Amino acid sequence: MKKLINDKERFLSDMLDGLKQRDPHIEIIEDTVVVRKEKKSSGVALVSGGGSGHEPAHAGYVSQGMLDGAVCGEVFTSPTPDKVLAAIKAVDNGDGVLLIIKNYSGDVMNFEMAQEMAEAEGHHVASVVVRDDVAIDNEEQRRGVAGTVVVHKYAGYLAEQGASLDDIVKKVKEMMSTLYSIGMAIHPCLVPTTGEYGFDLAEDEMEIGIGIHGEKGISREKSASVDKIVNRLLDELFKHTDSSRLIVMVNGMGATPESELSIVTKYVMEALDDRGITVSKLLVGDYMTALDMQGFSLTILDEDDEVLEALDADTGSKYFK
Amino acid sequence: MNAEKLLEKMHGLKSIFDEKESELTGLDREIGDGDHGVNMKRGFSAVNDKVSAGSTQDILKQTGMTLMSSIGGASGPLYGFSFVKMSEVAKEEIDGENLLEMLEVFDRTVAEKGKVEGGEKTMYDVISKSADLLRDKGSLSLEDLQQLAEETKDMIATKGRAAYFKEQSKGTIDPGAQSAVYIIHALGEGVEND
Repeated sequence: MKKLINDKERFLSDMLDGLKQRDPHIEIIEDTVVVRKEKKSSGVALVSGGGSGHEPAHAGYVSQGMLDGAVCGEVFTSPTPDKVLAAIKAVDNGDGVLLIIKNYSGDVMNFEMAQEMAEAEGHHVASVVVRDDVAIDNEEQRRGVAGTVVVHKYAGYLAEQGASLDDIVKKVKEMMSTLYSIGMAIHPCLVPTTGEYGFDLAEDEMEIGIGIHGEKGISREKSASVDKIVNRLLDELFKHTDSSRLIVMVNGMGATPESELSIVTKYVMEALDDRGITVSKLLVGDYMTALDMQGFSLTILDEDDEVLEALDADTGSKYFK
Repeated sequence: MNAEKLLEKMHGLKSIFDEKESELTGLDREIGDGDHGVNMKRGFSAVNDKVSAGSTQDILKQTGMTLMSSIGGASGPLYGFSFVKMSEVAKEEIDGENLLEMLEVFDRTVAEKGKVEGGEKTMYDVISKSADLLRDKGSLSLEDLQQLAEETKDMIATKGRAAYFKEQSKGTIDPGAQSAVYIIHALGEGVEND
C-alpha cells in the first residue's frame, strides 16, 4: 500500500497534529476533539463529527459561523461516547448544544449515549439526524452524506443570529425535509487501516449510490458519459422533489480533480436547465469526501431566503466556499 | 469461572482478534466498510492493556468501558454497554447458571440499544441464541456458535450498514455475528475450564 501515512495506528493523531499547525484558530482536546480556540461566549454551540476520512468534514468546519466542535473517530468509524461528551462539555456556554449527526447506526448510538450522559450532568442538548441519501429507499435508514455540510452552515448561521436551541432544531428539520443527495464512484478508496480498497471495480464499471465510508454502492453499472451519469443521478433525486428553484451542491469524493468536478458541474447545470430548474445557489468542491475515492455526489434542496442568506454568510472556515 | 480466570479470558481475546483481524475485515468488506477486524482488534488490545485485576464485576465493567471508549462504530457501544450491564449480574464465581443469566442480559442490551431483532443479519443472531444453546447442550462449543454465525449467511440484512445492500447482502456471514462467536466462546470456555 502506497500512502502518505507514517503508521496506520497513528493516522488520526498525526492528521490532527498537522491540522493544528495549519489552522491557528483551533485546538485539540481529549486527543481527538477539535474545538475553536476562542470559545463562543454566548449562543447555541454546534457539535458534529463522525469517522475520519471525510475531510474537510468535520474538523475543517470548526470555525466562526459553523461548528464549535468536531469529534473525530478513527477512519470511517464513529467516535466514542466519552469523546462526544467531552466535546459537549467543552463548547457549552449555557445556551445549549446542538448535535448534528449523520444517520449511520454507530454515529447515532454513540452521539445519543453522549447526549444522555451530558443531560444527566445538566447540559441542555438537542440533536438532529441528517438522512439525505436517496440511494436508500427506506427513509428511516437513509444515510447522512454531503447534505450534512449544508446543515452545519445553516445551523451555524442561525446560532450566530442568536436563535434558541429549539428554534434552530425546528428550522433545520424543516430545511432537511427538502434535502436530498446521491453519489457515484468510478474508483474505490484505499482504506489506510486495512490497506485494501473498499470494493473492487472493473475498468468499465461504476458504482451508483455509494456511501461515504468506502462501501459499495447500491447498483453496479457500466460506466457512461458524464451527461448520462448526471441525468441518472438527477432522475433519482427528482423522484423526491417537484420544486423548480433549487440550491445545488456538486461534491467531490476526495480524488476527483477540480477539472472533472467542473465538467460534472457543466452537465449538471445543462441538465437542470433542460428540466426547467432555476439554480439559486451553486456550491462546488470537496465538502464531504471518502478518502481518495474518485466520484462525486449531487445534493439538492429547496430555495429558501434564509438558507440562501446562511450559505452566503461569512465563515472562518476556508473549506466552505 | 473466578475473577482470575475471567481476566485471563478477556486478555486472551486480544490474541484471538489479532489472529482474526483479516477474516473479520474480509467479511465486513463484502457487506460493510471493511474495518470490523481493525476495530475489534483495537478494542481488545485496549482491554489487554487497561483492564486489571478486581472482582468479576470490576473486570466486566472495566472491559465494557474500555470497549466503549476504544472501538467506536456500532460495535463499540453495543459490546461495551453489554459488558457493563453483564457486570451488574455477574457472581463472584460465574457458573453455568450465572453465565446463562449474563447471556440473557447481553441479549436484552443489544436488542434495546441496537433496536434489533432476530433474523436481521447482525451480531444479535448469535447473541440471542447463545443462551438457548447453553441450555440445550450445557456448553458453548466453537462449532455450535460458529453454526449460529453460518446461519446469518443466507439472511438479508435489514439493520446496520449491510442493510443498504438488501438482496446483495446474502452469501456472507455477518461480521458482527462472527465476532460475537469469539466473545461468547471465551466466556463459555472460562466457565467450562473450571
